[in-house]
Amino acid sequence: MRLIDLSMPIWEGAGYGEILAMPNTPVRFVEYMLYDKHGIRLTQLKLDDETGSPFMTIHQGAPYRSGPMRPGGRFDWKLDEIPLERLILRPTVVLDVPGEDEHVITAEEIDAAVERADYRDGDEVLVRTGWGTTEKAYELGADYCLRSPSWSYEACVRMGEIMEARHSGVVMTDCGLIMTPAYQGYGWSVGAERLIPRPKPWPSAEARERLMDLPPNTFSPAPPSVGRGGYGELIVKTIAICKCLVNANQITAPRVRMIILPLLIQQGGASPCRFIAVEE
Amino acid sequence: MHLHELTLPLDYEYMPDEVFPTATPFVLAPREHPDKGIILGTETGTCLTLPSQFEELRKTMRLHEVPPEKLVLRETAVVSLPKEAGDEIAAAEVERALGAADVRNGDAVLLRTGWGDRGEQARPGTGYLLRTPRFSLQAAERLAAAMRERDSDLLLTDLALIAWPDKHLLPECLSLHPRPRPWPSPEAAMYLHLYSREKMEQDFAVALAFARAGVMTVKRLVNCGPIQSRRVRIVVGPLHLVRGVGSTCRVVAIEG
Repeated sequence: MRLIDLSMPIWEGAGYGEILAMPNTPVRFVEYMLYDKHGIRLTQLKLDDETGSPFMTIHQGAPYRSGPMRPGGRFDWKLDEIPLERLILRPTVVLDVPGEDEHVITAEEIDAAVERADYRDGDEVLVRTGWGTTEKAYELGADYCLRSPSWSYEACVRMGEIMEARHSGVVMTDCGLIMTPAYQGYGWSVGAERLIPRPKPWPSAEARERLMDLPPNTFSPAPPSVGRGGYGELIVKTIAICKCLVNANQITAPRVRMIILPLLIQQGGASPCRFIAVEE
Repeated sequence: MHLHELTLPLDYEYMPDEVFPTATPFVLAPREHPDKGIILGTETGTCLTLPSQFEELRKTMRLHEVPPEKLVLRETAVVSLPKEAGDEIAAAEVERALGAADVRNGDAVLLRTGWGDRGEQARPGTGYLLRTPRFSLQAAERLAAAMRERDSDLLLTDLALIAWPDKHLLPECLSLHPRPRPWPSPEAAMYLHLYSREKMEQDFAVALAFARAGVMTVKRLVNCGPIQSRRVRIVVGPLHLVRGVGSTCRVVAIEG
């Protein structure tokens, strides 16, 4: 048996918390008991619910939102309602969709990966580009998620359809973002309309202004020519979407069992998570 | 295969561990609040603590360096030592409990007293933390030595505290009425400003005994009672903090 840790590390200033206005706010540590003064170290951590490798249900934002982010979801579980049997030693198919910097995964690539894989009914899904690694995250800093492969709208829709047909619940990927950086970072961190210098994320004044200008029920002010998102179409088909996993390239088997450990937040909707692949 | 959830839920309305000035509150802030996201401390809820939490052991392993095999699907001996509220655990009791358990070389040890099975953690007030059964220093030293003899470096327990800070924190803080809020309240910040290394070593003597033996600890497990077997496989999932020394964590026992 071999264990492979697929969890993105968490550190102050991690790039994934620096490049979007609202969805993923910065990681901050405050040391309040100190080695040199107290002989012991205690830290206060400020994280986002998308910090590291997050586990994001359709109830992301709970308990402060009145219902799921989209109606008609296949699953209606918050973090503390998910049966352990859906998280521990879950049979998981590895879908290979190789991608280099800034690659955008298409629906056809999802179909081809499914065709090649040993995908069994009820499997969870790990969509692997092979791109995401711990070393890259440390080296690229804030550019990590901007250069990472991501998913087209059509890929999100297609993956959702397949997962429903195959009775899958959790989709995991080593892409830094699901929706493309061009779409999510439009008018902020990507493209000709980006803000220079790039502002700090929420709660900066610029992030507040962006929220004021955002069309209702959208993730981005991007025009249709830039993209259409796709997160909402995928989330309604899943227990959770899990992004920003790392080191999936170390998995050698076509199938693994996954141990998935989000924080047990009472009535919470999303949290940083540990992902361990168990290879027999 | 039977799965047991041993994790104290992180409740945004009430956490029973926010008693001492050394704690910091768990906050789950709404999306459009300036604190959007999650605020928590090294020792929020069910938490893993490494020996490197202490300055004298700061050169030892940090969270991002812990191999998965130390925490995931690890063979674990269940050691039962039933205790009542406020009881102290004596060295002889540790000896007897270990003798009755099936502890093998390299195991993790899950020491259950029953304290996490009574629902005390869900009741308002300080009872869960301040009435927890607790180690005597001799009991901790005996258990730490026994674990070291067996190459065992992970202790999990349903006690609310590993160290019982009765030299300074308890008498000095809890005599104040109204009781000050945890850090970063002004009262807690002032208390910690005056809290010296010498006071810490006296208050945290039990935790230091485990740390000096190279033992990682997980405290505040709940619902260990339903575990039927003497041996389980344990899964511990802390946050993957770079150079961290402790973290809230998810703990699951696998039976069968």
